[in-house]
Amino acid sequence: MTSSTWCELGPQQARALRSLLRHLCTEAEAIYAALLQDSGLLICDYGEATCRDAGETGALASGTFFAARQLAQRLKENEFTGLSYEGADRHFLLAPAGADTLLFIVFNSHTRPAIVRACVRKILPDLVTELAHLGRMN
Amino acid sequence: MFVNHDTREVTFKLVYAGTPVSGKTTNLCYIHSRIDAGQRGDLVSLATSADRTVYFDFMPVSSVLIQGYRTKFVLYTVPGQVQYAATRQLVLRGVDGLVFVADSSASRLEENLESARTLMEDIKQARLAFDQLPFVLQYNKRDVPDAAPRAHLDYLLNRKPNPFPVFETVATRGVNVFACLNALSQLVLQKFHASAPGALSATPPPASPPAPPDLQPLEARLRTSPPPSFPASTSHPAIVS
Repeated sequence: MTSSTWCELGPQQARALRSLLRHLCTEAEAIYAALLQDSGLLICDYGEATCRDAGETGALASGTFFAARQLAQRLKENEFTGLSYEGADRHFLLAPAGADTLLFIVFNSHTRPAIVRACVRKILPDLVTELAHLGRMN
Repeated sequence: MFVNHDTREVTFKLVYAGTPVSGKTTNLCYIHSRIDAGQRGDLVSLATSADRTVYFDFMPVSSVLIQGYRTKFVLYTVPGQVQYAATRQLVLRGVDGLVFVADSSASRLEENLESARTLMEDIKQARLAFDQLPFVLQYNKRDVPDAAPRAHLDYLLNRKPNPFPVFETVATRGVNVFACLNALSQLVLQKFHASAPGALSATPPPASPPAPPDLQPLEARLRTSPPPSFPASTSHPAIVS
């Protein structure tokens, strides 16, 4: 039983995480990538200013992910590895990055979902390692 | 709660829970309508066509500066209906402070009790320690003709040696809505300072001139609203005054 988990991000960690997100965006030709706490709060982001999170994006992305996961579980699908959406030109992918963090990545039709997924898979271990350095306390 | 030393921001999550149709969304709508647009984000509402919240309502609000850190509160409501337990538990993830909105109507006392019981269960399921969670009670719709006496609501919902702070509100007209929000934000900030006294001084000061060490209210304030009354020991400024 815990109270809410407090999380701290230092400037050095922010630089390291942003560098990984920048690398991901470059490799995948994505336009925006963000790391979110599972509560919906933004940890760090990189990319196009129009996608930048002022609070709403994180809340909606986190809510969408967990609602879809819950739905999958109710449909007896317990291997929920992420959620992707393909729009007319803007698409996004939501994937877990560690125990209590989500990776949200936005891309357009210049790239393909499969490429983005592959790049996410490649970079996830580094992201998880870096996220493990975040200060946490209960 | 999230402390970002890079952007010098501290973000807290506050959730309005309570009896179905007790006015949780109305609270957020009122707050949204009265806070300067520069200090708040959009009010995002996931509701049915009948305006029932099905997932959550959401709005970020910027608040005070604490030791040079901008404080942000993200406000959520959760659906009151019993069948939405799963979504309530999701929205309760990482909650830093909680308001329980009860309906003052005498005909809805039983529903208030049931909702309070359900919330306790949701908190348990979300693995939150309720005794450590800043919590306030709001008795809303005090203007309805059959409003139960305050003592009656206290007896049902707040019968304990150290009662929770209670606010009698009329959310449709904004009566005490900000007093309630301010009180909860005070409790959250007090808990933050008590639990992590050095959290905001662990990093070197920014290159730009630091803000004064005392707590500074933001310039942009609520256009009109009487200052809320806080306990004498409270040392933090209100979100709005």
